[in-house]
This record gives sequence, structure tokens and C-alpha cells, in this order.
Amino acid sequence: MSTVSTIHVLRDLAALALVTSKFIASLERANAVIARAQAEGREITREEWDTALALDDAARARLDAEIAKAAAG
Amino acid sequence: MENQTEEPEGKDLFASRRFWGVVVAVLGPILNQYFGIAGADLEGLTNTIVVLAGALISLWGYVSRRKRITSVAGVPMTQTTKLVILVLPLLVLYGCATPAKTTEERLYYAYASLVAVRDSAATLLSAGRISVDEAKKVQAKADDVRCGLDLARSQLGGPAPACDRARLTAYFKDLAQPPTTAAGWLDLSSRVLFDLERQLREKGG
Repeated sequence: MSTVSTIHVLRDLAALALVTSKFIASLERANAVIARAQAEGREITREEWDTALALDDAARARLDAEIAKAAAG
Repeated sequence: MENQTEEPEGKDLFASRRFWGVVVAVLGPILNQYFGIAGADLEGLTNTIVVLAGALISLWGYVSRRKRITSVAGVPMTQTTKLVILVLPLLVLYGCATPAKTTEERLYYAYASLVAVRDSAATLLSAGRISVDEAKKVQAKADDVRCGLDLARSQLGGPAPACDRARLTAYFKDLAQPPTTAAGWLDLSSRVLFDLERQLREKGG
């Protein structure tokens, strides 16, 4: 395998690993909350909902910031 | 004399018995856990039988193989393709592994998936794997999904969102009328969300 294709593979692998870790981290958090609620025999609390919404708002802001950064070059 | 009818040296992934064996072994438990197919009790013994059947098909493919796998749906098998094949099923499996059962829990999980989609888009944009325009489209679609999830939550007693629900329903040309239940809005949003996830996973590969 040439050096260029090795770099391509490593770059793709790095992007894939990052995306994977983001997915896993976010879903892991949600699964933990759901499992805890089930174990305690209750519904998801108001605070847990607020946290979920705040996390999405924060993720939205991060993507907006990344878009602005990329657009600025 | 040159042999004119010589067969190609390799075969496609989808022609591999080992591949389909793995698909069978993995699909049963996923269908059971994620989709909760009505009437399809894959718990316990039945679940084990499905996994064993898949393993046997894989084993059969292994012992009887004559050709190496050299392509996937016609795309040549490169090192990158191998990595994607290795990692993507793990992602899908992980994404499917949620304890969420009720509509409220599924809704909560969907909000987390939305965070994952936005974060993935930000990561892919910073890695140069998607363009600014593509990232903007992801953001817009994610906003529409958020609207649907908020609408679903409002049906469960949450606050009424001020978003434009028509933007979400516009994705579905054959939709007779907007949903009236939390599960309906959740399903509608999830369909857009899954499509977004799929697109990002493909970009990630």
C-alpha cells in the first residue's frame, strides 16, 4: 500500500473513530438515564428532560460554530 | 492454450455465505430489541437458534470458500472498505442497543440521537469530510426533527413548541394528515433522523 493510501486510510479511520465516539457518548448518556428510571420504576424527570434539551441546544450551537469557522475559511 | 472461460479470482461480499451468516446471526436480536416485532418472540431459545443458524451458515461459507472477497456491491475491496465493514455494524449494533421501551423513553433516546447527529456533523465538517452546505442541510434537518420531537413531547404533557411543523411533514409526500399522537410525531421524526444518521455514517466511512 502506498504512503498516500495509508494516509487516506488513517484519515478515514480517525474521522470514523471520532464520529463513533460522539455517537456512543451521546447514546450512552441517554441509555444510562433510561435504565436508571426503569430501575427506580419512575418516569423521566423534569430535570433529566431539561438536560436532554440543553444538550441538543449545545450540540446545535457547536455545529453552528463549526459551520461559521469553516465558512470563514 | 489460453483458457478463455477462466473465472474471476474474487467474488463480491454479497455473494459470500459467511457474510449472510453474520447478517442472520446479528439481525434476529436487533429486530427483537429495537423494533420489538409484534408476535415474533425471539427471546431465549428462539433467539439462540437464530444466532446459531447464522453461525452455521458462516461456518459453511468458511469451509466451502473457493474465492476471496474482492468487492462490495461492485466496489473494489480496499483497506478503507474493510475498515468501514468492520466498524459500521458495530455502530449500528450500538445504536440499536437501547433499553427504551415506552414512548417517553424512546423519545428521550431520540433527543440523544439528535445530539449525536449534530456532533457527528460538526466532527465531519472539521475533518473536511462534508462541505459547509452539507453541514447546513444537516442542521436544518436536525431542527425539523427537533420540532417533531418537541411536538411529540407536547403530547405527553410538555410545553407546546413554536416551530413550524409543516417543514417536518413536508418530507413525507404521501402523508395524508399530520400525526395526532406522541408516538406518531416520534415515528415521523425518527424516520428523518435515521436518514440523517445513515448519511453521516456514509460520510464518516
